[in-house]
Amino acid sequence: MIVGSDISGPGSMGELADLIADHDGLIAYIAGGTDLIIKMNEGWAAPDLLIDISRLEELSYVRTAGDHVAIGAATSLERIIQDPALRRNFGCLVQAADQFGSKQIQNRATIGGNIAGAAPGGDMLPVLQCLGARVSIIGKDRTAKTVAFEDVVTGVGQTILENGDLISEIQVPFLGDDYITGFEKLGRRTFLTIARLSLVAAVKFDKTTRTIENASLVAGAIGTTPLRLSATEALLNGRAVDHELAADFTDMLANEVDRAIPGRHSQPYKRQAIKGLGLNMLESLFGETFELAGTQA
Amino acid sequence: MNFTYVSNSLPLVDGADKAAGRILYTGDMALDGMLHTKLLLSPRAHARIESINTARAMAEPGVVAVFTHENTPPFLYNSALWAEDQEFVEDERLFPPVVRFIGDRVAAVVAETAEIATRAVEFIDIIYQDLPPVFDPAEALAAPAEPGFESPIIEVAVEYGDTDDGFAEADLIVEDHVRTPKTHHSAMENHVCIALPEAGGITKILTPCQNVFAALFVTAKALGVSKEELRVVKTPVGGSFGGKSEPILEPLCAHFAKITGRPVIIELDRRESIIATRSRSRVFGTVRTAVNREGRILARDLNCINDAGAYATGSPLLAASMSRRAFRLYDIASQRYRCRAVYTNTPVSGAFRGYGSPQIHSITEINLDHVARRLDIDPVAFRLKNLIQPHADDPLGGPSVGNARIIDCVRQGARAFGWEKRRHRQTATDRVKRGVGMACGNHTNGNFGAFPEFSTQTLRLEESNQLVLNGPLHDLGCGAVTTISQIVAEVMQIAPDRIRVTEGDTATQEYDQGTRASRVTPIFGECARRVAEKLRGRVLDEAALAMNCAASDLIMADGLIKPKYGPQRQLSYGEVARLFKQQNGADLAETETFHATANPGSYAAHFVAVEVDTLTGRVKVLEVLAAHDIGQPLNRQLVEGQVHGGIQMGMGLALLEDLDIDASGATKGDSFARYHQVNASDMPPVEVLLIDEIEDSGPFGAKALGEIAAVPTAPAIVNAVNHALGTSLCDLPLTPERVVAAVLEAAPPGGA
Repeated sequence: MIVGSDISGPGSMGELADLIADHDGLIAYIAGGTDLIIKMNEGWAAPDLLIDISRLEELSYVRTAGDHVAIGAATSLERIIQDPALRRNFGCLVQAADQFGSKQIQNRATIGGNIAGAAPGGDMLPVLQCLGARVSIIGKDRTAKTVAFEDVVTGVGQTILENGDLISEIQVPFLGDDYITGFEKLGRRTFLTIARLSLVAAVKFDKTTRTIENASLVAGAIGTTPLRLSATEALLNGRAVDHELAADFTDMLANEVDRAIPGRHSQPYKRQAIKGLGLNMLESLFGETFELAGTQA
Repeated sequence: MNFTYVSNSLPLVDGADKAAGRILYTGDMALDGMLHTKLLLSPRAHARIESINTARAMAEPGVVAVFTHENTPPFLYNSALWAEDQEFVEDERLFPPVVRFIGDRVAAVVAETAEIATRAVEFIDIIYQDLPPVFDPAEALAAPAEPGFESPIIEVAVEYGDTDDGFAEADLIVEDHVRTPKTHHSAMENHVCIALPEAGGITKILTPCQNVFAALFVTAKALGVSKEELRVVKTPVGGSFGGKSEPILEPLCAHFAKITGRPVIIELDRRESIIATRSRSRVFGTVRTAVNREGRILARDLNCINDAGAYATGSPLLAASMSRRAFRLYDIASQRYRCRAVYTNTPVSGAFRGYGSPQIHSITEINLDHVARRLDIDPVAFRLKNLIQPHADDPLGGPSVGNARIIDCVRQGARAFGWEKRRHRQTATDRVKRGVGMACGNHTNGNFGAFPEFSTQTLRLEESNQLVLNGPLHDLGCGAVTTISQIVAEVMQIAPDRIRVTEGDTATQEYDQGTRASRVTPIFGECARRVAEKLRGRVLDEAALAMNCAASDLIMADGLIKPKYGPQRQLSYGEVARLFKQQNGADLAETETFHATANPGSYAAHFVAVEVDTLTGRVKVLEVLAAHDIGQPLNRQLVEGQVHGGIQMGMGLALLEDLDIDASGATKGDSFARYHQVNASDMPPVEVLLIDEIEDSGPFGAKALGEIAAVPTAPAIVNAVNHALGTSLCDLPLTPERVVAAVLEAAPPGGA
């Protein structure tokens, strides 16, 4: 039940700008509504003005723009899954969208909504951080700014967005031809599950020497915001993909978990589970299955 | 046997209407002037209500009434009551002055709209005085308790044979401590009820329930009114699995309607259904099994603590039920069983598909695999040495187990599953381990032996060629109306869609226990068959008179009666009814009361293959073969559906589902985001194997299926995981955390 909110559905970005400029109360934007409606029903969100942006064509697109791909904030996950340019260049983004909620949720939920919701298990978040995405935000005073994604999400459900701020676009820079990317997720179930742990990688890979030249690696659902695994990135750079790497890589992942959540109830489990995700990642990136020698510890 | 209508995969008679949204569920009903309710559930695990002030809530425009412990009947009751002479501990009331768990009922606001009620409930001012809570059932026995809530609530202790002797002779004794979790029924339809005042001072209750008479008795007791002032009518049920067996909202709703003089609805949301209705009881079981070297079980000792939660409800019945299940599966010379039910300040336990069977068989079947491992005997071979034979006597002197075909389930199931070969197959990789496991189970066919078990029904033939079966049936969505129609259709030889079956209504029907104890097919179904046989004889007699021939020379087929030979004449059943009415001024109808004299067991063995990721702890169930001894299947398609659904629940119990009470007494799994069930993407291929045997006491040889389907899956999965890993996991559900911890314990880091 949505109680006490005025609801408005502007027909254009111009109308929207006028609408928010004149409004003094608490504003919320609704696109897919897969998060917000639940929050409103449960009393966690009670905006004075609810603005429906789901029918604004100006916010729903995927297009190539020079050195990056631009994605409108109200673009559905399903549209991301189907987009040829994204499929070709950003496998991890499409894989994450494909494992996002259920098919019904993918049809409704949007990339901008996932950012604004800022849930620790938000599947898009570690992906956008890994890919060095940038986020365009329109303010109440009609100003526009573009910031690095990693500066947007600040905590559980917390972002830098101020009242009336609208995420308008996400820009994902092209990686270059010799990059490969991957997304691995662990939940209670295979599908329709909230991530308990996820891992995103984008690596520059020399196929002839089978060497990793540059790695970007981010974990999701470990802390409150996506976690860049810098030590593991450093370990990977310049290394050939072999059994020794697999062992060092998974050990380092476990160390990163130990550093990120020391003493947390979930630490003993997640330090093991991330090794599994790491091995899955190596298989997905390089097409090779690795076993850890001796015991699984 | 050759049947015309029985055994066919007839679709659910109400299936198309349900799929098209034409069924009006209780939550869809909008009565004129209907008021809406919001319950205030306790945020405290155990607290005395020092003061409660409803003035601010009452002042809200649109609020009609606010109910608390101060202005509602104080009568104590037990919601598990389903026969008037049952004497249970009575410890529950509409609104208690001392709340006993997070989710207990503190107050209710009744208002013009749901929105107003939801808002106003926040304006009730309460001061609580916290009392010490108990969350761990193992600690409950020693903990201080409020008067009237001392543990144990009940202690059931039974023994046959000389157990101590058996243990003295043993070559090996294996002891396990198994824990099963509190789980939620997860019916699609949340709990809901409507009550409305009717002429004559009667309060009518519309409820998706499992027994209108239980709702009548419990409501009368809770309100301190006579049964004559109440009428209970069953509405379509959107799933129950035992969750709607005990009346929870009915007494509240009836009282609110009575006081306000208007129709009132109470509709819970998912969180409220999870924490504030009933759940599967958590059981801590210690089992000791004594065997000789040859693999014969000599004796077994079972000691269980059953966590009743905040109120006693049916815990005495559950304790007794678990002992009967444990004693009727294996041929063991002596067994001792002790179960103590204890109070904790946690959500309340109640009926749940299997009524203790999934718990007790998890405890014993996981242990038996450990025994087999220690004896170095294959688990199937070990069980075959010990399983109960058909027509065995009940060791406690209860009804015979009947044509119990568990040995066939295990033999045929193992063969179809390829057990021999698969049990010895090498594991997949170092990281991913494969295993197979199996488990057996049994369940009841009604209450005969423990309680009087009977049903009364009337079958009437209409001039329109329709048959009306009037009896208090309670279809919970699993197809009872369909199968009962098939039974009547088979006897009467007329298409099932010509049969109308009524459902529960206390105003027009005779007492019945409703849907419980897997009694619908064996008891209600057998009564339906008998009343149909009776009417069939009457119809034939009347037709014989009209057609001037002997009844034995007539055949009935497809709604028509004709002579086996001779002139081509025929009468429809409806014409016989019309002729009878013309001549006698009465309907052609028969009434039958059936008293059961048997209670055979339904048996099953489930075989599963699993894959365990030793790093992530995820268990993937690859395949399930379910061998069931249910006598003659009445509807093959519904049988398959029941078994698939039972396996889905068993997988949840083994791997995922847990209310998960935290250190403050709060239910962590209080939404479907945090309470995980197996969904379609993780369902394995399921093969259903039915043993081709019949049970003489059941209608057309049929036995019950609904509950047994959910029994052996969980222990079979645990056994498969333990096989895959070489572990002895006993704590359900096997969450990834528990699996990983067990893997690390078996092969510690840096260890060899």
